[in-house]
Amino acid sequence: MEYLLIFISAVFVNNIVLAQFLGICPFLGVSKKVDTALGMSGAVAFVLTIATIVTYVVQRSVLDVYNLQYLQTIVFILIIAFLVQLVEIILKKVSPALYQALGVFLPLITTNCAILGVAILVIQKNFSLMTGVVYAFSTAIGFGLALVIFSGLREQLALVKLPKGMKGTPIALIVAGILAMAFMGFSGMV
Amino acid sequence: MKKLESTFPNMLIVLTLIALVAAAGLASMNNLTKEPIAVSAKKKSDDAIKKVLPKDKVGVIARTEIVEVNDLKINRAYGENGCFIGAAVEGNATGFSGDVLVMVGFDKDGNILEYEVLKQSETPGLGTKMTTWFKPQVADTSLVEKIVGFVVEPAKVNSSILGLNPAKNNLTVSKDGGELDAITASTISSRAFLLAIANAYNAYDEAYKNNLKNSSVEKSIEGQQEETEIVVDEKIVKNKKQVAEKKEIKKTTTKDDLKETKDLELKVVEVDTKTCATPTNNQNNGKEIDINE
Amino acid sequence: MNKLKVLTNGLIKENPVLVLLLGMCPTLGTTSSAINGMSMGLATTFVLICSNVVISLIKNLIPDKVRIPAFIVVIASFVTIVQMSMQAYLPELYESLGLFIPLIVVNCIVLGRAEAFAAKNSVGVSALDGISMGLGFTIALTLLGSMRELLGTGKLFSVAIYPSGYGMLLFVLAPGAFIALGYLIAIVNRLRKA
Repeated sequence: MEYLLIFISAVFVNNIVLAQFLGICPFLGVSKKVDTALGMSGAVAFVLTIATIVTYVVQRSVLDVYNLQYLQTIVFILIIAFLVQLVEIILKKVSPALYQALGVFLPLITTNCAILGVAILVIQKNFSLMTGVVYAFSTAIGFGLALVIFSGLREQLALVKLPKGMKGTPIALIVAGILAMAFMGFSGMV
Repeated sequence: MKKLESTFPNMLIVLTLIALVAAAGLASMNNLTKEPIAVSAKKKSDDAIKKVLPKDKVGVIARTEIVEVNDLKINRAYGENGCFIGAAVEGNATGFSGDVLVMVGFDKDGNILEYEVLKQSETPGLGTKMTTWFKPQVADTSLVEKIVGFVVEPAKVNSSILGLNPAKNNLTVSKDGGELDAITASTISSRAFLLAIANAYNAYDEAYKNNLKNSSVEKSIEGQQEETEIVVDEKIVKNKKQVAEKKEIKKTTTKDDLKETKDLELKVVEVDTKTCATPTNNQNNGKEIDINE
Repeated sequence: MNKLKVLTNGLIKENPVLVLLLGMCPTLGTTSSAINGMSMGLATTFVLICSNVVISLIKNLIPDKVRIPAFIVVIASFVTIVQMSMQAYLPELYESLGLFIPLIVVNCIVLGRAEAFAAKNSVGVSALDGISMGLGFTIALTLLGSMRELLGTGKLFSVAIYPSGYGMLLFVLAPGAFIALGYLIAIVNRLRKA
């Protein structure tokens, strides 16, 4: 039950993109087509979950034990950068098909603030490892949901006639705003 | 200078060096800021206590004593003559989107003096209004109103909880049959806030009963020792640092007095229950205060 | 290179937020009021100047293949310094900016300027570039913050301008951030083309 609440909260109520403003760069950058949006969401879900587990273990078994909490930011970002490289190499060897699907998105993920943001949030909120993993995975699903819906909207938007200044990012942001408004309907649910 | 080649030893040495320098720099920075961070955290809680127990209503706080009931901190405050003058009590509840933590100042009769919202994550512009809504409304004339000379009167609401007593007043929103108007469009946040206040009052009440139990112990020397033991048992943590205005303590007490802090504290407990008006939520006492308010 | 040109580059012509569209997360997340937006901008400016200076100083010591991790370590150190000093001396601001302070590390502007500018230029010019880009970022955030605060609550830098009852609350909430930024960029686009 607790996990279900966390899931609903992370996917709908406190959606990472539309309510917490994390991961906006890929949200605007790779949302022109539904296919690429799906690929990006898969890559983020994969890295986010692994990164949360590794950073959690490092925080609890190294940083907390030796009172090095002040190194949190530096250690976490290095772990994430390292993990992204590692995942890329392993995927290439183990599953070329998956690498084909996700490969191009992996380098972009290091600077996706959703990854570092969630890793830090899990520590701040004092989650247990299991809760943290559920939270991270749900957040990734929420990210994917927002990204796929948004890319669907943008595919239609490409066919619309617009004033010059509005073309591209401005209209995309305004559409994202309306999408965020729709997601606000979920607030207060959990 | 020529750029270093990308050979393996070069890369390893450079990265290790950079990481070491960064770690050392941050470690010294951490040492530098550790104390200010602790001081500012302490100052924040001290300021909150001072704010909810205003000087003009309860007088100068000579020392405070922290008691914990149901994981809520109760800062019992004593005046210069050692009398119990009120308590700054924490209260919590679950709001519209996250936990709400408040600190409420009660005088010795349980009347609410002032409150402060310590933590909340309600909707900005709606639920966040709880920080001022439950106090007397303050008119905030805007620039346009000043220029035009026409002031838009805000709707009259009956929402201030200051001076009320949770034991006698029904501190719930009018929708629930209470006597307070909820924040416009934020009934859930208002309910959460009032529940937090109620929890704070319960904790205050509980601590008061505990205090009576403790101090009813005999006043002989053995009795006093026993008393301190009970105090430990009840998880009552005495704040050894004489909080708040150390200067003021120095003004009124001689150095000898300070040396025998333990005696002083025990004496204070004694005075607290014997000569001062005891903290009570007794109806009669409360009414007198109400008239004064 | 013309120093004046470097200095004005980031402010208008290559404004990181309004023209290059970088650093969107803090831009949307911290601009619920003008003062929050400005503080976030200044914190980022500090990191940007320091990391630019340090990276241009040590650029020749870093082998090409490990330059990105090296840059990240330098940037993360300065971010942590900002984080600790804010926690110590500006605790309220630290709380209201919250998670976005450590997230300066992954702000594309900082790493982007390190890679594209500081790694190729001398210390002085790199510092100027940091100032210029940082101020450009600060201006954009302050502008967006003022816009949202004024439309949403009727206040500007916490001074009541018109009665708050007439504010459009939406602009303080999440959707308003997207919509306000959309219109701001549209206006800038229009002005640039004119």
